[in-house]
Amino acid sequence: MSGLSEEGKKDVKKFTDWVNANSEEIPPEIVYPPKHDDHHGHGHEHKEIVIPHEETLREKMAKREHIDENFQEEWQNVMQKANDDPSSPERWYRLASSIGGALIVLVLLITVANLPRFGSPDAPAMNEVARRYLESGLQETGAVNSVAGMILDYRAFDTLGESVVLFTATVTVIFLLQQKERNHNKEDIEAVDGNYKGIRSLPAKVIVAITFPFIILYGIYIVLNGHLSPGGGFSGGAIIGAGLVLNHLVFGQEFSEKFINVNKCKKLMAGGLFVYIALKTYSILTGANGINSHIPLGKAGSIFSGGLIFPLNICVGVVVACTVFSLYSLFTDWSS
Amino acid sequence: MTTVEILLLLFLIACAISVFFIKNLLNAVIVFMSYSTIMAVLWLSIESPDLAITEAAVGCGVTTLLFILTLKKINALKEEGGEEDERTF
Repeated sequence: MSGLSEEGKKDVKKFTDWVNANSEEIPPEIVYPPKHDDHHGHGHEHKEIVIPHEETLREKMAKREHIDENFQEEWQNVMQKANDDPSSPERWYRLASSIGGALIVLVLLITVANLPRFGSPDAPAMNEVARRYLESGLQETGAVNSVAGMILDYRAFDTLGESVVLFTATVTVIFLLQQKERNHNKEDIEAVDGNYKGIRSLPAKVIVAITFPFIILYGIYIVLNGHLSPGGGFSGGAIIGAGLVLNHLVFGQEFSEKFINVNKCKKLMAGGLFVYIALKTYSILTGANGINSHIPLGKAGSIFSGGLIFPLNICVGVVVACTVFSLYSLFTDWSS
Repeated sequence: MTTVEILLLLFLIACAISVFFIKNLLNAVIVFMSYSTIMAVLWLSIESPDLAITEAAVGCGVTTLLFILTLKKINALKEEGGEEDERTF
């Protein structure tokens, strides 16, 4: 200010005085463009931009900090009270919940103690249903692995329900999280979509580079061999999904997108479920009405056997693998 | 019941109880993961390999991963007074 002339200093003084005198009258929010009295007519409409006045912003921030402090103090007081005062309700809640938990554990333990011995022939699980599955399962379903024969032939409707539950859960999560993203403005979305470059640890990269193909191969083997050996669509799909997640985690988004991304996942999930429903509808229509099914059961023990179990396993595997991967992708937010 | 099975069952109970008493959430998740691993071996020992594979894939792999991601999401992986390890996540 020292560089100013006498005249300039006077002007600055005048201005600051004016601001001090009129600071009460400055509106809390500045509206641009300013509203004129209506002498221009209705030729065109301006879009209003509301800029909050700095003071109002500061007040809001101060209020918010105040609330946070108050809340923390309040909470600490409540906790302190609960610890000090023996008659406070918080103390009784704790006591009641401990007693309730102990009771539930007691009931469960008594139930377990009264169960029939594992594998005993008198157990209710060893009824004619289980005998039928074990004795004629191979003949009727063509699957060497009787578990696969059970869940994908006798009880395939159950498995359909499970797949639909997984599908619905994933679709709901996708819907909710995308809804949230849509409300951000553009800058936020660019931050959210930040390209994840992978982790920097060299040993992790080397180990995953070696094991990743084998994990995927093992998962595919379990899915395809589900009717012959332990495993099947669900466990194999989970292994493939976990392998894809590991790949994304270690090598980053760019490399992972070569294999799969969320959009492909959505299509694959819907496709897998659709194929499952179509195949099973055929089998229910023919089987339940005594119509001759045109799908051969094949020679027991070969890879193309078990009738519909083989393709159904693949469908379940695809749905589960995509579910696991898309849940992972939706939960990651690499910008934070 | 063999000695190994009894040992595994004891570990299982120890893991299940200690999850409640561990303050650090990340450690609790890791102990929970070891619970699933022991459970998978036990499924195998009572001749249900199907369940064992599923338990290993879902219990150890996917559940643990989702837990850790959730911890990351709610910023619970930060140690008190220390900085977050950026290499892992």
